[in-house]
Amino acid sequence: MPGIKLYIGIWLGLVFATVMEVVVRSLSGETSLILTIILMIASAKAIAISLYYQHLRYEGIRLAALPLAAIVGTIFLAVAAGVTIIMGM
Amino acid sequence: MYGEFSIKEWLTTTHHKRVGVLYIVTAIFFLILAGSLGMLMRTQLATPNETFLTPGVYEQIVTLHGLLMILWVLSALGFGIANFIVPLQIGAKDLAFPRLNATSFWMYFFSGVLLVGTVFLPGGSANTGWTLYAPLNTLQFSPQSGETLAVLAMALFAVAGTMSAINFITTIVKNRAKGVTWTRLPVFTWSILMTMALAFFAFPPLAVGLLLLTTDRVLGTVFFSSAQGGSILWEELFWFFGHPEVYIVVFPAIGIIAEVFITFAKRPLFAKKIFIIEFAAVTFLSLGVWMHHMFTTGVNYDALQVFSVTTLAISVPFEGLVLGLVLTLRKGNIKLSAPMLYCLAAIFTVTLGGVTGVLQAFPVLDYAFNGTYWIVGHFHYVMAGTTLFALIAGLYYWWPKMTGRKYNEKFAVITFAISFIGFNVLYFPYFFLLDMPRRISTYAASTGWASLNFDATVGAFVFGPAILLTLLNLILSYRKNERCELNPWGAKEMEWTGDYCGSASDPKSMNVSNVTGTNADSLDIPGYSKILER
Amino acid sequence: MNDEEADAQESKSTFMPLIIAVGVAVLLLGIAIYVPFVIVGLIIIAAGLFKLFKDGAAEKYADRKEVAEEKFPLESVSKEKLGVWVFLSSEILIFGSLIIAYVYVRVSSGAWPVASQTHNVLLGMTNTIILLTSSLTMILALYSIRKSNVAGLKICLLSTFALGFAFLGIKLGIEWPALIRSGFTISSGLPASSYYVLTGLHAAHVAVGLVMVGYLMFRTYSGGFTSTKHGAVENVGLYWHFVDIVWMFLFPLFYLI
Repeated sequence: MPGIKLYIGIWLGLVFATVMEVVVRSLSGETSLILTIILMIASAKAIAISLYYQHLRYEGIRLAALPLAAIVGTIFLAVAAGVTIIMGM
Repeated sequence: MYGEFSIKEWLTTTHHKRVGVLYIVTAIFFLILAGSLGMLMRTQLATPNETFLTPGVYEQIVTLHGLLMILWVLSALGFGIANFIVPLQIGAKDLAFPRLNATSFWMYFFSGVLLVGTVFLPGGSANTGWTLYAPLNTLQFSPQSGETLAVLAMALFAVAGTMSAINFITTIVKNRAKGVTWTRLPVFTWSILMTMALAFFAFPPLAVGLLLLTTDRVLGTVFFSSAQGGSILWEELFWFFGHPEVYIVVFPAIGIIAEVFITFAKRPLFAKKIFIIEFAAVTFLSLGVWMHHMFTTGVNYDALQVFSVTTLAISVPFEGLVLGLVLTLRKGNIKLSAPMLYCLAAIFTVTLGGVTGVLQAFPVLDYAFNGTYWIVGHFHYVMAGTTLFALIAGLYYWWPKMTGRKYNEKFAVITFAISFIGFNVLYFPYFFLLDMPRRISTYAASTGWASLNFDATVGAFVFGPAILLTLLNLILSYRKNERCELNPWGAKEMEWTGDYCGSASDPKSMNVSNVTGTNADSLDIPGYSKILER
Repeated sequence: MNDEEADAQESKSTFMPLIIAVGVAVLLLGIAIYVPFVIVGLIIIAAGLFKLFKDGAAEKYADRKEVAEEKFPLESVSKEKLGVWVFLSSEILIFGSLIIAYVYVRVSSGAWPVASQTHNVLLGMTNTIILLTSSLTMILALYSIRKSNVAGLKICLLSTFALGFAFLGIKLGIEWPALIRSGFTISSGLPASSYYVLTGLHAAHVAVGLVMVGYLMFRTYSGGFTSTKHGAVENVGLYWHFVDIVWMFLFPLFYLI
């Protein structure tokens, strides 16, 4: 199990990442690139919380299989729904 | 013996056997109600230009019939039997979270009360068909509060179902007794695990769709009334739920057929490991076929192709399951008891229903089939046929276990014959009404549909009463107060032979082993592994 | 089976499932036809949950003896924790479907108001940091009780509650009134529809989380947690972190993009 230092370290990283998201947003540049970067930062934050605060890193892949399955299912629905609009009717 | 329980005990129980009975009894009430609605529809459709029911009333009846049957009857009967049998099959004392289980039941119960109650509201009940398509479901086109309440009732059902899924998945993973390894898990429990895995994936998106519809109707959001959201958004969410839902309905039936075949042919399940793998394949694929309900909505062609392929693909492992079931009978010492007969009929109907389903996997054919009685025939064959027949078989099969009584076998065989004939006379004509749209309340004589519709109604008036006679047979088993023997079928499965159920057919007993003083969730049952080795 | 065991089993009988279901039904009836019923329903549900928690707290103090069971592949996970994870996975599907619906209508719309003009980005960022900090205090709460530090547990739970409350206060007390004043009401179109429904459902989840943290504080003060018996702290924590994770996505999706 992680110690206090790790928990606080993760927290600092999360705060920093949040500020970075706002900073990146205010940059000028290719919109879709900026959006992608922001969402990747958000994903990294989410993964950090689940690995270290929800202890998935220490519980093992078996328990993580459940939320992963849910995520895969969601992505599948997203892709399929996305295909119907992005590629037009 | 259920009379030994007071009303208070029924209202406060959290024990899985009694919660299972509550589900089954409630589902049977809804079956009678929804079946009566079906009889009303058949009466209306028997002759052209009929005015027995107005279109407005007919639309409400067809919506309620569909909603009640799919969710409140068939799913609930499956859940109820699962509640009773699964813990016995895995050697558990109860489900993982008994109070959550009871909460699931009462939420299901009151969601049904709310749904039926919509009939009494001004403006009447929901009238958009069970699929509640947008924008018909919006305030603009369905302003009645009955529609809102029906939507909320469905949402409550979805919440109850999700809670059940969490409960059963945790139970089957964590509450198995020593010796009940995954390979030794009985096939009915496997089928329930698959069912609950699907429920876990399917109910949340339904809940989301219903939530957005509710905020549209009550708070003024515009998800489904806007052009950008609208009908396609609804259909994506609804059918992502709706397709797995039909497998949620049919999986317990497949589990029951397997158990009945095993017991009454005195043979093990043919190639059990392959069966389970095929089961898992169907479960997995069923999450990826839903757009075949949207083939004619104008979504882009590439998506159609993908989903056509997945729909055809799913028929392969599904056929494997049916084949596995049939091969279980091979070289068997087959006893044509009532449960066996109903399961054989279920195999027949799933073959017919499945073949018509394969034809529907082709988008180009779907343009002809969509919204017609062909589709109505297809799903009644697999739902009112396979699923209902198998659930009845399950009730017959486990009746001695659940009540300690034996129904009248001869009467059961006779009602089976009447049911089977009535069922086919009722639904087979639908495949020839290819050009008759569904959900219409009447039709002109010039369409030529009258004679087939009349035949179907005749079938309904045979099938409907036959179902009532079946229920009567079960109820009359209480006529004599004597208990039947513990294991009248000579079955070898855990729920019959487990030493641990006390007086095994007495549902008043808790599940305790001969090893006393344990406080754990499952039981260390001596000799269980011997029972499982076959 | 002797009578003691029968009583032990029967003590799980309770009216609360029925009561809670009635409360929910009344709540739904209220939404559909008569708004005052919503309050009545909520009261019934609260009363039912309160009684359930009270009974649950008493039960959990009892010792449990483990007997050999088949648990592969999740031997080391308690059934309560497994149940929570299955529940959270279903919540992933709920919020996931909602986000899909939002992205769907947004992409279909083409034109969409600029986020920084509608929302106060800095306030949103601050609120995000507040919620993140509450996750830190929540995990430190678990850390404390693991080390038998009951005082630390109390402080951390209190901080989590305060920070979560602040999050809701800023959102519902400052952000939403400002939006409504500027004409961004729930019925004003798709952008508002999606913002209010998604952040509103999230806020409801935070509120439920606060109730559970409150329950943990109640049990802490009555001495219920030890370094070996603190499953509820971990499980509520899992829920709390999940709610935080959802916000990690909602914040950029609504305030930045």
